[in-house]
This record gives sequence, C-alpha cells and structure tokens, in this order.
Amino acid sequence: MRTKSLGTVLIVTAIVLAIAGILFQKIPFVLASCAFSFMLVYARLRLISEIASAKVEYERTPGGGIAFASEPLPISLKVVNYSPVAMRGTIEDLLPPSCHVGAGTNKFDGVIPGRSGISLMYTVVPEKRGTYIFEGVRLESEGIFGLLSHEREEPIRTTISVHTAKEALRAARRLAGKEHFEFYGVSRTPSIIMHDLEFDSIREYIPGDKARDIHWKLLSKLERLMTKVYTKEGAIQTRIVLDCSRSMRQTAGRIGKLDHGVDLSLQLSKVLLSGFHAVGASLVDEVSVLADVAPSLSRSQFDKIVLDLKQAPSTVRVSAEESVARTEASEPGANQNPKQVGLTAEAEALTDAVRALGSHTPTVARGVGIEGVVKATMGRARRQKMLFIVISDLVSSKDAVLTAASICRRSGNRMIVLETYDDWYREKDHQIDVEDAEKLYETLVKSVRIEATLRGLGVGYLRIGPADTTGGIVRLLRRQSA
Amino acid sequence: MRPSPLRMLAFLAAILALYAFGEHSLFTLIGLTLGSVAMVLAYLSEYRAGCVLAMLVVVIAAASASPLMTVTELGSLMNAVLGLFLPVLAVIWFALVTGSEEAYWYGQRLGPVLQAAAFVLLCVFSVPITVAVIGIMSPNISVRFSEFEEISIILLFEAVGAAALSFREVRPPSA
Repeated sequence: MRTKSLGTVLIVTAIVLAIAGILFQKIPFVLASCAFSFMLVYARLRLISEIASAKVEYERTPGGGIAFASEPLPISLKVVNYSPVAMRGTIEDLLPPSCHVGAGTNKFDGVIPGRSGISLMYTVVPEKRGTYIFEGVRLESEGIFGLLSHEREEPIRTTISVHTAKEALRAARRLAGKEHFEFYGVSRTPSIIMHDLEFDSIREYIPGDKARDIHWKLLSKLERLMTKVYTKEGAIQTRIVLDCSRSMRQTAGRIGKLDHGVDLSLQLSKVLLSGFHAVGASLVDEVSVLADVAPSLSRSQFDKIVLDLKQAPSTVRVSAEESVARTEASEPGANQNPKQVGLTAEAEALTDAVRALGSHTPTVARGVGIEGVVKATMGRARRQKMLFIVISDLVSSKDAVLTAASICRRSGNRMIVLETYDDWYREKDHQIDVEDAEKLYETLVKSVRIEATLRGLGVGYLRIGPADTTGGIVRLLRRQSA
Repeated sequence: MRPSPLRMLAFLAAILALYAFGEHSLFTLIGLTLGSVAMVLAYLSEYRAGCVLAMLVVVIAAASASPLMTVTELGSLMNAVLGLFLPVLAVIWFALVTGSEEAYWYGQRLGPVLQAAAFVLLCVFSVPITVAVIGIMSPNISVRFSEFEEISIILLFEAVGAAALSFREVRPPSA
C-alpha cells in the first residue's frame, strides 16, 4: 500500500502535533493528533475492506480482422464493478512491449459506481510482426479521501498475432502486375499448358481418344487401333517452404531474417499466382510443420497463404555479438553449452528437444523439418513434379535442406534455396576488426561450400540480404533458370 | 459543484463548538476565524490543498485555545470529546471531502468504521482506562498522573493501536 501526498501531510501533521503536545505539555495537541490518526486508520481499513470485497470483471476484446504491423488495431476493455461499493482509482490496460497507443486511451482515472461499468476503447499500433501478449490490467485503487492507494495487476491474457506490414501486401500486388516468374515442367495437371503435344509414347486405343491422336500408320501393321500419347508441359505446382528455426527467429539488425522471409513468401506467392502457378506455403521449424497450405490456384489461395504466414513465430531481438554466439551454437553438430551462450530457458528447452530428436548427431534426423515437408508433399503429389522454394538461413536447418535437396534430385523435383545470409542481417555497433573480418570470411567460405553442394544437387541458389527486394530476386531467378 | 448543505452544517457546528469550548486569546481567535473563512472559500472553490492548509491553521488554533489540563475527570473528558476531538474530526473530514462529488456511504462498510471508532475511543479514554486498571490491580494505591504522563499514555495507546491496525495486509479479492 502506498501513501499519497495528502496522506503524507496528515501523517506528518499527526506526528508534529504529538511532538508539540510533549514539548508544550498540552493534551489538546495530542487529542488533535489522535483525530488525524483516526482518519488515516479509517482510510486504510476501508481500502483493505474495499479491495477484499471487490468484484470486478474485465473483458478485453481485440477488433476483428487481421492485425497488421504499423496499423492501428482496435481494442475494447470492459470493466464491470459488481460490488455495491464504488471503485475509485486508475485502471490501465497493460500494453505488450513494442506496442503503443494509436488513438484513444488505455487508462481510466475516476470512480466506477457500484453495480456499473465502463468501457475503454482505444487502438494499439504494433511496431512489427509477431505475437503480442496483453498480460493484464493494472489497477491502482485509491482509498477514501485520496490518502492511500494500492496497486495490483489483474492477469487477463489476450494474445494477438500480428502480421507483417500492409506495405508488403501492397508491394506484392504491385509486383504481381509487373513481374513474371514461370517454372514449367511435365505435369499431370498443369495449370496452364506451355508446351503442348510433345510425343511421349503409344498405347492401345481407348474409346474417347481423339481421332487426331490415333496412329493410323500402325493400323495396317498391327491391325488394331493405337493412340499416340503426348505429354503436356506447364506451370508446375510450387510450394514455398519458410524456415522458422531458432536461428531464423533471431534478429540482430533492423530487419529480421524471418520477417524478411515472410514478406518474400507473400510477394513470391502473389507473383507466382498471377502467373497461374499453383502455390502453397509451409512454415517449418526444426521439428514440426507450424502451418501448411496445399498448392492451389483457387481465388482465395492468396488469402489462405496470408493467413498461413500469420502463424510465423515472433522474432527475438539479440545483440550482434550474442547473435554470433547463438548462431554458432545453433549449427547442427556444434558442441554447445546453452549456459555459455546465455540462452533463455525457452531456448534451452528447445535445444534439448532438438537434441533429443538427434539432430546434433552426425546422422541427419529424417522425417521432421524441411525434408519432412518435402517428403510428405511428394507423397501426396503422386509423381507430379513440384518446385520447392526454400527460404532459410541454412544455420539450424542446414542438414534438413541438404537432405531435402538430395530427395528432390532423386525424385526429379526442383528446388530453389534463398539463403537469408546471416551476416548481412546483423548490424554491427562497432568498427570491424581483424578477428571479426576473419569470422565473416570463415562464414562466407562455409556458405560458399553449402552453395556448391546445393548446386551440385541441381538446386537453384541465391544468397539474399535485407536490401534484396522480391522484384530483384525474381529477376535473378529468371536469369538463372534461363 | 453545488455545496452540500449537510457538510456545511457539520462544519459550522464544529467551528461553533470550537469557539464555545475554547479559551481564546486574540491570536487563536484570529487564527480560528481566518482559518474557517479560508476553509469555506476553499471548499466553495473546490480547492482541496488550500482547504487542508486552512484546516491545519484551524486545528492548531483550536488546540492552542483549549483549556484542557487532564482527561481523568468526567467534566474535562466531556470537554475534550465534545469541545475538541469531535469538532476537529469534523473539520478534518470537511477539508478532505473538498472537491469530491462522490457521496461516501460510511455505513456501507461498518467494519472499518467500528474498528477505527474503537481505536479512537481507546486513545481518548486511555488515561481513565489505565487508572481503572491500576485501581483494580492495586486498590490501595492512590494514582495521580501528571500532564506529561497523561500525554505519554495517550500517545502510547495511539502508537500501539495504529500499528496494530496497520498490520493487516491487503488481501486480493476472492474469485
């Protein structure tokens, strides 16, 4: 309990009057001191009683629709005082970090009469993409006469998932009209036919075959009807696989790798859909598939992908030095000690889980993560050729991507890896010294080796940084595939 | 805000009691008069800080003017309660509710009212209680306290009582 300024004045007066009573040997001063003490004691007891019998209910309701970063999101907080006694004080809806009030106010200062309520309407502006948790409501109850106050927090949790900035969607729509990105191949059900009537084989005639496809010359030799079979080449189904592993979630610069990955996935899918490519998207971490949308060309496909990408986990801000240490620790096979690199309890638990699954062992874990998605997709595709666009930093999920690439090669599917190059996403707060330069070089050499391995497996590869836009990436990929 | 007639009436009655029961010198008379006027003006202009400041002047003037020498005799005890303690309490209350439109329902929470009343009664009657206890324990002793001893007893009761009542911690509301 806290004494307010008026309460302090009363306490000081009571003490001064008591001292004056002793000094001047006057009982009236002491009795006046008793009167002040009575007021303070009564105010305290009444506040305790009011708090103990308070029956207040809170209900927080976020506005409908998708929440976007840097866009105001309406929040409504209803406070109902079921107690017959009025409630005095300040009620403040506690905002999550990286959020600020846009319009209105999240505070109420005044009296809520007994058996009535108030409603706070305001908008919050989340600064970036991610999950925001409203932890509770801070309630500062003010005692009678404003002498004392008591502060407490009521835990009312509301979780809001905030998508990337609307600008990324607008950019996707702009790009869709400008850029074209086509990958064609043999497909059972191509969305659009690019190269029709390429001869494939001959089979026996089945009623319903077109007359022009009948091999008339063979009729005289075999004395039965044979049909020429043509393969159709067209836009193949594409699946964008976004790596949401531990290393991707770390942000040491202005733009996070995962945030950039989400924007890229959105914009690439829009560009591909505008070119009649059936596109799907998957969010994958080290051990599981977080969200998945099967490739399709339906009208609502882009909306489905937008909703799917909304489930991408939040990024965690770390310093550049910490990021280096964590990245080294995140690499599979690294002999890591979580305590040495200052990981949080959550990160340690994740590390243990991954370790338990065996990804730290020399043999690559199979059936989970990116390669799991590739396998499952191919299983569902039933020999239909597919294109996988993997967006990953190749740190935590390096082995999974390499395994997926070799699976794609064996099965004749295609893969493009967009490596969100870790070092380019870090912002150094000091001048680079020789040691840093050596580390950067070492990392680059590692990345070049991975690139060589991937290219050897027939995978298209691009190393990208925060400055790379989707338009530029699409143009580069087009040039590579040409 | 419209001034509450009940509050004004209580205040005027308290001031009248302070005038009636005190032995006023020129200084205490000036202090009491100016303080009361300032309190009324501050109340009408809803200026709580000013009203509290004026209340301090009134309380000090009233306490200085009170002829109370002992609280062991019934007459002086009545004088202490009716002529000083209750009016001072009313004046403090009047100052603290200045600027507040809220009607405090004191009867709604009887527990705090009764506990605080018990505390204050214990303080005011602390000296007679002590005398009675000593009289019961040792009937042969004739007890007579000096003014300083009476002050000490009242302050001891006040300090112990306030501390005992402040020990209660805030409990969160039951779900």
